[in-house]
Amino acid sequence: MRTTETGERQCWGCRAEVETLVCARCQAIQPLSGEPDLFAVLGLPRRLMIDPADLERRYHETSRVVHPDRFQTASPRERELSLDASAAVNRAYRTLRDPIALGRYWLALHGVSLGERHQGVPPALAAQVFEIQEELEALRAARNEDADSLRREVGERREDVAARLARLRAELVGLYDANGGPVLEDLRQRLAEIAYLRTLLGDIDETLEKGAQ
Amino acid sequence: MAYSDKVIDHYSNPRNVGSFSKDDPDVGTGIVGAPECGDVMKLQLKISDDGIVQDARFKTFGCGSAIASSSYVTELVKGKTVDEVMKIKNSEIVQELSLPPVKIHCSVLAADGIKAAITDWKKRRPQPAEPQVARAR
Repeated sequence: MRTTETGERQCWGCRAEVETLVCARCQAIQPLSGEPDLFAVLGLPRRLMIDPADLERRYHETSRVVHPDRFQTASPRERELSLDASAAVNRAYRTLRDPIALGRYWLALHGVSLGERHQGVPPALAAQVFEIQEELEALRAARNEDADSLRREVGERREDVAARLARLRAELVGLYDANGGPVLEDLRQRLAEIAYLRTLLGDIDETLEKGAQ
Repeated sequence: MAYSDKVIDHYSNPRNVGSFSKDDPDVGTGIVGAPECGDVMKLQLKISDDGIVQDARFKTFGCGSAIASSSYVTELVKGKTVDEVMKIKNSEIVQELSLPPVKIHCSVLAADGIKAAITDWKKRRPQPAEPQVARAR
């Protein structure tokens, strides 16, 4: 999508005005900027509230139109545009269909990082995670019968953490439906907790797997 | 990413690892976590009645820089007054350990941790009794 001096975009193929990844008039795939807007790639408005059925439909439609199979006999430039566009379409779909990836992308679009101004997680959460890490440490060091009972305990903890993650995810999706869009700080807090608990869940699973071998 | 010699030193030979009893009235405990990396640190300070840090302990689950930051900070606080500890800046840790920009949050976490420990100590220590006011009759 080339931007002219007046800010309008012109199709490189037919010079028609174009706002989408594929020119509506001549079907030419438009070149993407280095960091394409993932909403625009699928022709969606920049909004967190996304209808999953609409997203699916747009993904399949756009994938088909830009698919490299259709450009096997086209010019090298068009083949390259097709590959770039297909990669962007896949990335957009993967990001927009997953509420957590979508939230993180939204923060990045607004220049906010998870650990913005190096804020830690809430103290109570840090204390719980510390406790679980100590149990994991004990389990890694344990032998025989001790290991069995610790393993059961850690298994129960794993369920708690997974349930909490599910709750946070539901809260996050609830924020997406807010009128006028969510407050960035609310999003950041939820996503920071989710990231923190996901790391913990990974540590729990790694410890349980190692012990099972 | 290459760790600095000081990070490697603190990581392979951490100072003051362990814990004090949380219930000891002289002990303040701070537990802090950073969302980006999943690290969690527990920092504990033993503080005398006149507000001087007598001893410190830490336990950290995290990367080498997080362990080194918490280890170094337990050394740094010993002998300092409570007010001096509250003024410690994470940049002192960054400088001492030559932490790269991506690991600055480890130093922030350690600095936040000791301050949380002081706050906990202040909250938990027995409040001085209200001075008895002689009532004029």
